[in-house]
Amino acid sequence: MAQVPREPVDTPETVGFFDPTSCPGFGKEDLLMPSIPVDALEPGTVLAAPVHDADGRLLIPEGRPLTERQIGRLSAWGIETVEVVLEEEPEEEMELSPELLAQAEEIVAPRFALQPVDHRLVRETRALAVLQWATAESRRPSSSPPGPGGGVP
Amino acid sequence: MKASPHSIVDGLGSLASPPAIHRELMQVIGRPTSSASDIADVIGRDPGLSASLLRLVNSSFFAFSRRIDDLGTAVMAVGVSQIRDLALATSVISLFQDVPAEEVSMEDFWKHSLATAVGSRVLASLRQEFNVESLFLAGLLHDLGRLVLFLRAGRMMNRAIREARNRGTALHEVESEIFGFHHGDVGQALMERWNLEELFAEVAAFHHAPLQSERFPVETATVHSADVIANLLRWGHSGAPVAPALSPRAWKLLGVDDNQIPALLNVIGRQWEDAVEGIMLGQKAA
Repeated sequence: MAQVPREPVDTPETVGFFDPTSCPGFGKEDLLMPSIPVDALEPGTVLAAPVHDADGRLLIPEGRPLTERQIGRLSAWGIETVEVVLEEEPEEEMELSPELLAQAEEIVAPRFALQPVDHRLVRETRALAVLQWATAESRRPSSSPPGPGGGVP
Repeated sequence: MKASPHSIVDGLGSLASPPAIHRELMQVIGRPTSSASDIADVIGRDPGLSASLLRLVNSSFFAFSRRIDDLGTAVMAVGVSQIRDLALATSVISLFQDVPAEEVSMEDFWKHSLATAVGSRVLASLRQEFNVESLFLAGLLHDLGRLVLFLRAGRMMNRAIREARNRGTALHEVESEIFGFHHGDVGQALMERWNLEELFAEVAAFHHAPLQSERFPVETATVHSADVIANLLRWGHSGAPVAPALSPRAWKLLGVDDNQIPALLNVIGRQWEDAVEGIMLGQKAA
């Protein structure tokens, strides 16, 4: 993989800085599997990595929803943070009528005019663009005229 | 005489130099005796920049387990060149915040640039890049040449935007027809003038033709993809009425698992909102 060229000052050794990515829970770049503190865990959260004790014995396997008892045991074992699987934000229950969604399709279509057809990224982005426009539209006070935008914030 | 990207940049006056903070940081970082607190001192002289950086460091960008309240700790936690890149990103936005452009507001323009920056950063972090902030900066600067064109050839740019809208064409293609080059070339000329690392000039030059990048194909493909996503979702506004076309081959270079795409878009959207709040709203208040 191509690397961004870096000057010697970038290496932690030369200036005595630590590499944040080598520090558990500190500067983790693994965005889709964040480390979170044990006291913020809720039952049902799924671990992204197994939890071991100091001797390497498996305490809790990954990939299964945590029970309240397991969460209690984690802090008893002195474990401070765990890696969890990021859950999709629960969508607010929103009434988006088929008419509104059809209107959204029409509004966003011109933006997509130059895109390759049937590319997965384009399909997913279009679905989000439609949802984003329709959601913003349904929240808008009905008195003002419709706008062409659709982005938050 | 026909204009060239370099002649356009030559007429920029004080903007032909990078933000002062960048030169100061490069000097301090270049001294072997410098410590984190020396770097923090340089940043600390700019209260607006300091506040923006601290907000960023405490945002969803970095899942730090503790709050970071001082710049010295921020430098150590985030990294020296990472802080330098974030500082340059933040100060470029204030340097170019009053560009008059009829067809696009500076607020929308910088929101678009931030969405591209955040998207590039997230895509880079999936590949476990060492310095994801350099991709953040590359994303933030990718359209800077367009602001130079607004400053130096505003009327022609407004015409280009109207024409792109009427014809349903990509704006950079209309720019090429009118000027003989597009905003990417102008951005490249400016970043060379600023003496930034080659990465940034190359990404700007080729973000609409990522496969032509010889030295930084993956980085250019990263910013290219993030730019298309930001345009398609109207996260901010680049001025382009129709989003530029995605290069499927460039996207493939990134090695993203297709099933990750929905979560990826989610993360980018959320972090973009944090970045807008941390950097842009902070500058308004300052």
